[in-house]
Amino acid sequence: MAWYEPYRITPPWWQSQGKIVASTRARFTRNIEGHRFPQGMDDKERESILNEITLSIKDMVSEFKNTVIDTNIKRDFFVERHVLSKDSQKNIALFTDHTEEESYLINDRDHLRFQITMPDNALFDVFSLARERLRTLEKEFNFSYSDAFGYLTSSLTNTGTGFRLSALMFIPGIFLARETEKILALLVKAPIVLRGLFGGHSEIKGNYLQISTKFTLSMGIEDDLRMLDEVVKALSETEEKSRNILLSEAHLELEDRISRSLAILESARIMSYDESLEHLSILKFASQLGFEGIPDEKTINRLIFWSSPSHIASLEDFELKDEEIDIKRADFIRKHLFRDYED
Amino acid sequence: MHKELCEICGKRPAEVEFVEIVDGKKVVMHLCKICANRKANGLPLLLTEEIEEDSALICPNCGTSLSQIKQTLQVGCPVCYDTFRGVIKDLLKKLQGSASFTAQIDLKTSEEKDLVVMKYRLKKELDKAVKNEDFERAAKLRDEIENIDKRLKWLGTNPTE
Repeated sequence: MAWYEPYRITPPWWQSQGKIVASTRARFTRNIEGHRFPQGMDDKERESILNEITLSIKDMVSEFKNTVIDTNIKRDFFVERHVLSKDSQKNIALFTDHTEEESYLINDRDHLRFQITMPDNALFDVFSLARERLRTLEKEFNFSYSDAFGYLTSSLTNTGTGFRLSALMFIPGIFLARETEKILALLVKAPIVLRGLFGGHSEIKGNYLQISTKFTLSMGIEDDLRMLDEVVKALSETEEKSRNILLSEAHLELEDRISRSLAILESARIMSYDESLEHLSILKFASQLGFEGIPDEKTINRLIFWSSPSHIASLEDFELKDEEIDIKRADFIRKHLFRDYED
Repeated sequence: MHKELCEICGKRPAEVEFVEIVDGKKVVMHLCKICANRKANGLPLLLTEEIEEDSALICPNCGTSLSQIKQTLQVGCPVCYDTFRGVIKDLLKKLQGSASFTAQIDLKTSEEKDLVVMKYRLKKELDKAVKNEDFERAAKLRDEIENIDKRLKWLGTNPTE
């Protein structure tokens, strides 16, 4: 079986419908005491860490699936699945439960990084489940810790709690109503990091904005939860307002924009990823606003997820040349836009 | 992909497309990995001379040099934190606005903590009930929250709201 067969599904956490908060995620980074961090470890040490952590995960997570990320193709694929970052190392072991709500990375930059992701605004739930998992792991491992710095991690941006909480916001209203500047000015003052769809330095695309907690030395994990919850609420309110303004003051322009996006998706023969994201996210917006003649949001979500380059390539067993990917993407979207399909 | 030099240091090859929103406008810069990483974290630029000087200082446990740490903002092992304590404190101060660990991360569950968590959950449900004008449920939730507050008070925690 090809390594990507178990990943033919659209993860349920991506299937948020009618919501401004598309998904929420909690993440912990930990290292096991008495070892160097993965980049400086030899094969033997890597293997012993891998075996040790694997055993605990198998006990904890039912129905897991796993793979080793050892090629660039696999790395890109899992970056697109939001379980890896672009600057990940080679030979990382990835464990997830079958829905990919829980994912565990072993021997990336740190011995263990795990995350819980859920659809909609589930900050409290991802927080609680992540904490629960950490509690279980703490019974089995002594994690590297110092009184001065807290939990020791390879990246100085994680030192302390090693904890990050984030929300992926779907805010086309703010972008279309040109409220972006106001929002960014407001958010810059909060202790948060703003990112694009795939984290890191990725560009803001498809009207998605990722906001995540920033300070791991001075902000406690419960403070993170309270703070992010407030920011998410404020941003959601602004998005609602922007949507109302668009609907009441720019209805025709909005309708025009939506119809054009639909027409392009229905007729294009060659389509870049950025273009597909732009138009599919407009359709997602239209569907949320209740416009007629639009594919259902579940279908649009799937198309957004599967239009990313590696996912399109995986449909043809990674045998496509770069220029063929844009053709396959256009075909794939045209074919499925108005036809329900199962993964 | 890019053959030109980094737009910040002008010395190392540009490898990263760095996108920023400045005054509401998108600005794209082509940077080397070192400058991109430092810029993303709001740190000043690293001079080439500085990098050479620091490569001589090495962690005895993992062999990571100080210049590597300054460039990547990554350390090689827990011992690095002790070996380069001063520099790491400086970097943390710039990155995180704080150089020492003051965050609360007590994972041990206690009655207080469980109650606080439960209260948080109930408050959310209360919001929902009020929004849906389900006043019967809202009243019940308020009672439950009040009971939690009483218990918290008894346990010595002062409910803040």
